[in-house]
Amino acid sequence: MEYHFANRFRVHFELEEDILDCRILKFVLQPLVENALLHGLQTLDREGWIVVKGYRDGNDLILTVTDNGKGMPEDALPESEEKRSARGKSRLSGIGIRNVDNRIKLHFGMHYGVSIKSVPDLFTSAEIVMPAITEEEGMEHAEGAHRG
Amino acid sequence: MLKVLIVDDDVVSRMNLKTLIDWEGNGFCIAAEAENGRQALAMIERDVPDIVITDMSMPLMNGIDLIDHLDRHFPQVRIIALSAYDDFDYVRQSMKKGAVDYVLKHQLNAGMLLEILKAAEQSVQKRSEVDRDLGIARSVQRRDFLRRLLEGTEPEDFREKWNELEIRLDDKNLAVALAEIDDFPFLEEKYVSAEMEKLLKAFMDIAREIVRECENTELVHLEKGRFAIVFSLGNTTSQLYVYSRLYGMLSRLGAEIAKYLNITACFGVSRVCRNAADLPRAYREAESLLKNKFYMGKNRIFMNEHPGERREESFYVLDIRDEKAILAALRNADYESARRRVEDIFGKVSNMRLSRKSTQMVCVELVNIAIKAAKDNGIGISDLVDGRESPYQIVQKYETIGDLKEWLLQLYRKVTTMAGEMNVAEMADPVSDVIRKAVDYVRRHYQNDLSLADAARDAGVSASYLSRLFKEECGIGFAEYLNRFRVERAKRLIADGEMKLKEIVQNVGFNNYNYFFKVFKEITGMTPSEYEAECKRVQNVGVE
Repeated sequence: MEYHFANRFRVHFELEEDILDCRILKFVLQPLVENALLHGLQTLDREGWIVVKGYRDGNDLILTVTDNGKGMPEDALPESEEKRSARGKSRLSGIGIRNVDNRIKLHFGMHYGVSIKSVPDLFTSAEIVMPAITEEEGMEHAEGAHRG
Repeated sequence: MLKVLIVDDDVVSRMNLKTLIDWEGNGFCIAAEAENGRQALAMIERDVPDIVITDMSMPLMNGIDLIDHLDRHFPQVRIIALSAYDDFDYVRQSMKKGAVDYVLKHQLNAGMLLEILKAAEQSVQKRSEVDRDLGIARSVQRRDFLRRLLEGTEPEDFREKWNELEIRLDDKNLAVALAEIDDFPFLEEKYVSAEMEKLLKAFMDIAREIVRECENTELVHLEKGRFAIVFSLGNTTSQLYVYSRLYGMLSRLGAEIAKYLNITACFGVSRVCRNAADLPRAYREAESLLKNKFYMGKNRIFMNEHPGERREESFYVLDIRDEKAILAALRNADYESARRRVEDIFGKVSNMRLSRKSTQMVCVELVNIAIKAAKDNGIGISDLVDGRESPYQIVQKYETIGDLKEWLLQLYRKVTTMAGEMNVAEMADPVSDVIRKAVDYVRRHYQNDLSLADAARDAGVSASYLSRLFKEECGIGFAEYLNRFRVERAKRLIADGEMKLKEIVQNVGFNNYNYFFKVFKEITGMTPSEYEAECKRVQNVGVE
């Protein structure tokens, strides 16, 4: 990757200390970052950057991956969340992202998952919402999170 | 009104012709009369008519020679040949030369003359359309050429094309001014495209008039309210003199468009460049100077008085603490705290001289927070911004950092005002951590079964402690708070009119309709159906 883009982008992390001992599903961030690189920054003429943020909001863990790249046209965007949950299935573009969304929903329930916002030539931002589960509590506790 | 020239050596014939029809009433005027071809030519050279009606046999220069001459030198003039019975040969020749029509004098009557004139008129109009199209094609060619020349995409050997398109510029001592009409995206919204074209044309006309004092200047509309003005500066090499002269012209232009068109513009002015090949550099310089608009504001002229100053693009993203603080402020309808944070962030952005694009990204993040806070309070994006535009598109339209901030604060004001309507209890200030957690818990879980014990567990205190503290800090009991909260949500959903009452009851977390009915009436003084009817009535009044 480094070689391919010849260092034409920078990556910035903003992570809240609170979440450092949170457990997350495997392989959740990688597809989103990859998506940002391939579709957002590959043909950009200005300096590209990717910002990964992680923080806690109540009992939720929020992770966002934002790039300042080409963005996606509206028709390539996933349907709005309301429509999506009405259909009961994910319509996210890109197999990688859809897979992440499906796994999160399967594991934690329909309240959680991935949503994407994008504006052509400005930005793309993917937000992952998961329950915040710390090391000690273990993953079993998570099952309770979507019951309520 | 088409101009007609009558050529005939016979006074009576001319008089006949003049009185035969109502020229004026049919859209023609007799501009002049000549007695022969030579006299006619002298008149035509001074003022070219649209139509020439000529006799054939005349002294000094006959009709055939006149037609011949007109054909070669004034091809746009339409000709009607008049002839007597006995000069049929003449007529045959004149037909070959290109006269539009011919008439035998003794057959001439009003109806016939009008018919012939109308035919000539049509051919004149067609002709001028072709000319106009050719003219447009040429001006488009010139525009494209100049644009490529400035952008540096025109090949090196541009000089041949330069001459061919008659570019009125010296090939030495040039300067580029880039003009950009302020708030162009908003003007485009305000005016239909025909009005927009008029506006742009008016701008060009005013600009042309003003830059005329500088000989050999080219003005070209590049795109979206952006114009390039290339000045030939003659032999002047004093940068200072050039700047003050251009500054004078551009500030006059700025004043005139403000006065007559009620618009403003910004200008970026390059340094003097040696020759035409150096224009792309000057253009980039003007373009980069124009970017100062983002920080310096509208209606300004930017000149490079401190050359060689180039900044490294800096990098800035919202820090999570800021993000969370703003989210909390917006959720709690605390506009002042949100505003302070935003002012602070914009101050940092300004100090760093972040590019417009990167600043837009910061705004996107700030907008996202607003949307999130609004959603948590049951407010949709469509409640926040009018029209079908997304807030992200709006972010891209503002041209100065001041306008961006102002818009964003307005958005925040709206969110907090609407969130304030959702505040169902008079909270103590400051509210304790436990209560903040409990209120937050209600916000997140009101749609499901929710009890005091659940909220207490979440906040890490006992149910009885929470109950007491809640009354102290909020003035009402926890259950009362929850009911009011749910009824507020229900009211908003009813007002939206998208859901049926039955669905709303469940959506806001009530277990059965009867209980909902009772609580709703207690709090609002109306039954849900009465409230629904009231909403519809108000909306209908709004429509009328």
